[in-house]
Amino acid sequence: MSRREFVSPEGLRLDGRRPDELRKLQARMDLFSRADGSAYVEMGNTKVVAAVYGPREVRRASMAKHDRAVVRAEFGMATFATGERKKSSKGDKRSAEVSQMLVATFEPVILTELFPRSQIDIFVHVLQADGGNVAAAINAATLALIDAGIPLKDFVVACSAGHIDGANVLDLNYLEDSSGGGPELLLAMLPTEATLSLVKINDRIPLDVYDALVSLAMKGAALIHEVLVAKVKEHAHQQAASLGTIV
Amino acid sequence: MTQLVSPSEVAFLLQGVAHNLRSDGRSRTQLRPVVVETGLVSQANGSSRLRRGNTDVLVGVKLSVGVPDLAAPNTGRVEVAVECAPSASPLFEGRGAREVNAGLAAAAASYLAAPGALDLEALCIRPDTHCWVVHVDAVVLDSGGNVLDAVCAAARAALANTTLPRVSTVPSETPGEFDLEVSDDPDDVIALDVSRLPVSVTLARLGDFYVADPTLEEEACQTAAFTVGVTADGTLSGATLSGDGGIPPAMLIEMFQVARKLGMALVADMNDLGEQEAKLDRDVVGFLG
Repeated sequence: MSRREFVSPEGLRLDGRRPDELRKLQARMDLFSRADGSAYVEMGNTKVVAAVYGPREVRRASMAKHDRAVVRAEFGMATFATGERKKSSKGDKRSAEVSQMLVATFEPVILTELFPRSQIDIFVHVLQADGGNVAAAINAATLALIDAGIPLKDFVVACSAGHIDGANVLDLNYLEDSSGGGPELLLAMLPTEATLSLVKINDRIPLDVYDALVSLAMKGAALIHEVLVAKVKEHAHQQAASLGTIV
Repeated sequence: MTQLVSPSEVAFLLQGVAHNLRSDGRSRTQLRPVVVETGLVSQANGSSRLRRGNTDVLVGVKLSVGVPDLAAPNTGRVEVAVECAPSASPLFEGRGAREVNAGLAAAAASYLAAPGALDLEALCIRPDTHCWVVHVDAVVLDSGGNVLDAVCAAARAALANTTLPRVSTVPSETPGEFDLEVSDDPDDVIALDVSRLPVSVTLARLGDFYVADPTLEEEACQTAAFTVGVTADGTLSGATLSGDGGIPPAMLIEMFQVARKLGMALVADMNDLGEQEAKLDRDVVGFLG
């Protein structure tokens, strides 16, 4: 069986990127009318929408916390998002795991103590999956939270990096992720202080490679942060202009 | 997709309807403009995103090879599923949308998978053993009323965007079994014939009048709703009356006529839009636009 070459001798990956290059990142805020905040993020061919509701009254009184808001998250995938059609992702293990990751990532960042006895919901739906779904989900959720006007300590930006064929590559696509064979690292970062809020590694990884991967992924996350900040500013500007506050 | 309306809002809406001027400026029998883009999900065989007011629906069509039903050995089949995303309403989180999803899917299937809507025999690859199964999956991303009509129209656009690869069967090494052989030329495809596929038109009864394509607020004060499937040539394919208010027979007959006219115009509009879109040399806009 011939083995696929993930990084060519010229230093190019299957989709033509350099090892330390991100996919094209595009975003939009405020898509939906009924959610308090919503956003859409495209990382290459991975496309996700996020919607945020809240802070609002808790749905079940037993959930309420007297000193802060409860953060809940639900991650789902469209049946046509992947190469093979899947039945609805509602309630499957993987979705539940990612939902937990979203809660764990955002709970410490949202200023929950400002909203006792209330809840904040984050819903993320993957419309097209091509690797890096969780990273895209976190980035979209950040924008949706900002759109909803929920006070945050900082942005949360997520990026993945992997070690394939002896090379460290940034922002893996589906092919590299599924058949690259190397370890993959996903991290979420609070960019202002450059602190990591989520690190997930799915395989054994030598320590020296770990160092290089973390710094590569952090570099990627910093670039994503730049794009997201520009998007938020552009959106705020449009909002202000439409209100007539500025010309 | 519940929307709370106060008694004064109801009064305002009903008075507007009585004066043939609805709160969004439409007349009673005017549909909201439709914005549609096709081919935006690369993993699907056909796809479309349709917006109508605030209602936002994404439909992906995926093909798989299945075994024909015993009762109809030389036909393929169409399967419809609808998923209301929590972005359309917080009530749709977890399993909250299960019943709504099932209801919408059954209603949409009654039009999209109705006998004669699609040529099911064209979906047969080899009688008894192989056929195409066309999965029509809709995601409701935002709701601004009349989701069913949006799902049906989006599904129609996505099916019009769907092509079947040309496939033949060859005897397999195992005697009695067959392998599929797909044409080498990726452009050698067959477009689905959607010319007899209906759209649905919903009319909602508000007081003594009825309105077409109700918004969320209008749905909250309707006493009954009547949905009709209409094809391009004006054939009616199925109708459903829902709600607990009932509709007098004379009004129902009038509603049939109005729905038929609106449905034919909508199909013609959508066909035009599809032709215009096909002529454009464009990049996918998707959710960025």
